[in-house]
Amino acid sequence: MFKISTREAQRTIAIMVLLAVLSSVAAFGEQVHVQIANAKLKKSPQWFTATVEEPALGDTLDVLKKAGDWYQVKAGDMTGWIHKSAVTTKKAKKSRASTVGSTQTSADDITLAGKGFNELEADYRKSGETVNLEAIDAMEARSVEEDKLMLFLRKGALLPKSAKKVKK
Amino acid sequence: MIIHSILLVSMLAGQPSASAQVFGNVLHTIEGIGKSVTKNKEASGSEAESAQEAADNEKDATLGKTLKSIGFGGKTADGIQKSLGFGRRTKQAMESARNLDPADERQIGRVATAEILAKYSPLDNEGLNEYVQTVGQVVAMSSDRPQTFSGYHFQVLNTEEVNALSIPGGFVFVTKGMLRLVGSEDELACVLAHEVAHVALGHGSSAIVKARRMKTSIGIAADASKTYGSKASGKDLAALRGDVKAVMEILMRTGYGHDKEFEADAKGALYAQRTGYDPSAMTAVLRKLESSAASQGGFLKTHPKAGKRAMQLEKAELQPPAWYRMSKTRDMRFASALAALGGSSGE
Repeated sequence: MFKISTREAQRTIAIMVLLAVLSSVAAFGEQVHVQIANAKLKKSPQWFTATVEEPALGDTLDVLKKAGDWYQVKAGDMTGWIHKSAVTTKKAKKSRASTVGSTQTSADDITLAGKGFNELEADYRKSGETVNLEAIDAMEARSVEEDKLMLFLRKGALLPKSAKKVKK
Repeated sequence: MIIHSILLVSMLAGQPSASAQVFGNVLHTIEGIGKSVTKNKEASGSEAESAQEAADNEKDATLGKTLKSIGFGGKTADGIQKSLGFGRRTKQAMESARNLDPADERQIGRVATAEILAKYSPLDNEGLNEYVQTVGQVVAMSSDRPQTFSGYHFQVLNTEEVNALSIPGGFVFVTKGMLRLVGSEDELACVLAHEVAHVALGHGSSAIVKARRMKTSIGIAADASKTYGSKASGKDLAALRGDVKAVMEILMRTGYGHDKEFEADAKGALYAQRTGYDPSAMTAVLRKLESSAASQGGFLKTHPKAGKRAMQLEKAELQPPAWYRMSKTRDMRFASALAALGGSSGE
């Protein structure tokens, strides 16, 4: 039977706490990975500012700092701001856990997504079940550009009068 | 690796003939295999997954040989080998059950959406759909989750049922009946914001994760580990069909639960306010729903009573943003877009 003195126990706990703190600091904010299809790096940490870069799905970005829900990141030679909903700290895209069925995301997935094809949908088609996949393709293709959204807000008096016009 | 070591230690404890030296060799062997797996994890994409799969198989085989070489009987060695492999796959299954990444969410959401679009026909009027898309998108940008894998997409359904619903991934529907009920762009924004809130707060996605977790933990971990944990059987479409079924079950039968509806009301009103709309329009719509006979069935039958929801929201005393002002342009574009609905419901 082992005997551990109080001092040794305290030292062990202190080391464990220190290691936990150090590992969390190292894990936080150093790098993030793009987890959506149409990510944008903005000039400032807010919408309706100029887009400086469009990183691809799975790209790794170096985090410089954080402001609210935005990360300032470096992608290649470009520096910009990306919303936290567009990135993950985990390399989820390349893990085995993300390959359930046909759900592995890759550049191919984005290409195929436009055609509305994946194994799950193919399986539904094959079985002749009642799904309207053409309608979902049309629905998913519907999207309004950011400059048009800005104009919509401005014309509808939904912005403070002091709000600046969008810069492309 | 720690789990493997502990498992092995506990199993070896029942084998007094195994010497400490042999025990050390076994651990060393496992450690070495573990390192090769870790190295493989650093590769990317499907190549990494194939390498990982091969490494796992190699790891199991090597472990079996090692155990046999140190004197374990064939059946005992096979048993240990299977236990360790099973533990690893179950761990992977649990990991999958905890997370639903945006790509998974979108693909499950697409099929559930396609099922809804087979039950209810989409309204074929691009002007009205585009208007609803625009209002929905500006509200979504003010939400806690402005971006999903492929963005938020809005569609009017060609039915006089008074309703709106959302599906994980950012697919949002509003019916013709609901559009006839709302009296302004502010009210429409609040209806869409409520649906965006369900997506942003992950109400549907967490239900899928919960269903996966139950499957993993209630004694069918072997099936779950096969389904979610390994690439070889990861193409088990039955699992994804189960996820779609979980979403449809919520939409058609159980709902998200009253607490989540209240939460979506409160968050939705906040998103509308952040966008520049009057959040009290949410209460106004709920009051209309309360007195609307058409809103008693369909998807809304799973929601708390609209009057109770309105009362709950009124307690928050939400105010419009400081710069809020009425706008003729806003009123006119709303009227113009909804003119596409034609006269009163004839269905």
